[in-house]
Amino acid sequence: MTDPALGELLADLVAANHVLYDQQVLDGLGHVSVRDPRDPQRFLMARALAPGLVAADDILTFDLDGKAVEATRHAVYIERFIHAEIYRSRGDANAVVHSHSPAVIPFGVTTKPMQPVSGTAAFLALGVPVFEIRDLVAASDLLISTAELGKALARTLGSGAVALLRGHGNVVVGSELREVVSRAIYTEINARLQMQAIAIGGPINYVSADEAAAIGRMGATRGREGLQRSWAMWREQAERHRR
Amino acid sequence: MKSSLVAFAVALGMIGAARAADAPTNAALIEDIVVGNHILYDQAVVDGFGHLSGRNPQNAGHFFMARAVAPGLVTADDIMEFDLDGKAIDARGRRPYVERFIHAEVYRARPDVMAVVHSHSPGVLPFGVSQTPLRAMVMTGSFLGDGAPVFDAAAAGGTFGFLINTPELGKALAKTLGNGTVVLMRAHGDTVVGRGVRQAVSNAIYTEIAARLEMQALSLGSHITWLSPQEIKNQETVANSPNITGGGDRTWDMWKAQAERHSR
Repeated sequence: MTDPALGELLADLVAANHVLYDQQVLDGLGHVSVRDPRDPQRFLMARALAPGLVAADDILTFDLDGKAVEATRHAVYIERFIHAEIYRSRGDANAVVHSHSPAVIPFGVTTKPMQPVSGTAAFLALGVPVFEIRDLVAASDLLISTAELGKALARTLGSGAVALLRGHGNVVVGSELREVVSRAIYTEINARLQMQAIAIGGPINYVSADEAAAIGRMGATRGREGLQRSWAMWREQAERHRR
Repeated sequence: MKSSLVAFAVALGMIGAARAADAPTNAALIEDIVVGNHILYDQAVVDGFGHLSGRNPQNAGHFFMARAVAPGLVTADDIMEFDLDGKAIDARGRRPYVERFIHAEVYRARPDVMAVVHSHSPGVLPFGVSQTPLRAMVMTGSFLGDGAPVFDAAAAGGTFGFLINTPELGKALAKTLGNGTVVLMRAHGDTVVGRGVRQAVSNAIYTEIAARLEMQALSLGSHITWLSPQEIKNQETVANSPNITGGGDRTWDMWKAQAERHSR
């Protein structure tokens, strides 16, 4: 772990834990991971710990079977198969968040689909499928605690950015760590805004697929600047609140 | 079962011998009660009102709870010991909460309960005054089952606002709670129990969250998929196993750190 680029990524992963907690996407539960730049068959994630309390020493390396690469005496997240199987099936996914992001929950238990009401959440226009664990296990404890359940969730996610887990939470993927943090935060914000738009009543003029595609193209060229701007703010705020 | 053994041993004067090796000392329990008060305040489950108690692990007929003070301001010196009639063991001039009978009678009726939270948890209030049950819709609120029962102090003969200020009202409340985890109190709040202080605090926080989420789901105006009885049962197993989700120390440590940070 002497590679300076890796050191920066580890610092970013710790910061991502703190930012997602500070932004109330994660509470004591939930996790964020990043694909290992040294080996795409591995990913980095904290041991079983509240995200707000994660430090660099808590980060472990896992393989795509969900096994910790180096033996650890610490407990690991039961649901690491969410991350492992998404990395296995989605070559373009380099970062994953699983959360109980509160405002998103109601969309997972109703038939009302999540749709973007703001350009900041245009990635939701890719479609937000709902994973129903009962389709695989009639009477589960709702946790994604096996590779099989992880694979089924990855299939439901398909090529999208977000999938909801009925009665549980959601999973968000991104091409890099800062993008997945941004997407997880704006997924939560969009859920609140969409519920408010629905409460106002009448038809809703959602962001269209074409508009979302245009925003996606803009993001590919100019998006990084916006991402860095927000990241710097979220990180500074999370650090300030930790003092 | 264990608590009745403890009570028996206490009666024989075998307190020290009967204490299980892993039972928390009173000092650790009192520390958890103090921290639990601060967490419940920080998480906006309690405001100036509401209280948290823990049963004395060495004497099942006693419990610990703060004197009448705002939960956010509780210190170890405020923690008093009560018997199940709600009488203070060593008051030393400290004034107790009027509603200590909630705790006393729940402990009397439920040997499995080791901690009790009573609050005016704001998100929960609407479910106590409407016909819509507060029920298990999300994993973290699975203990709500097929709907938390509602207790109406006025209908039970209460004449002191909606307060549970007598053993009789406490008994009636405990009867409505039954074997459940949560009982709603009409126009008042709720009472939440757990197998320990940390679990009761967690249950109280996730009851508040579940109430907000159910209101939002209802506002979407479409069919809701509730947790099935079997999912609820399986989640109970998860919640009572350490270091997985609810009941573990993972979340407690975070709530504690945050409450301490906010009180600086």
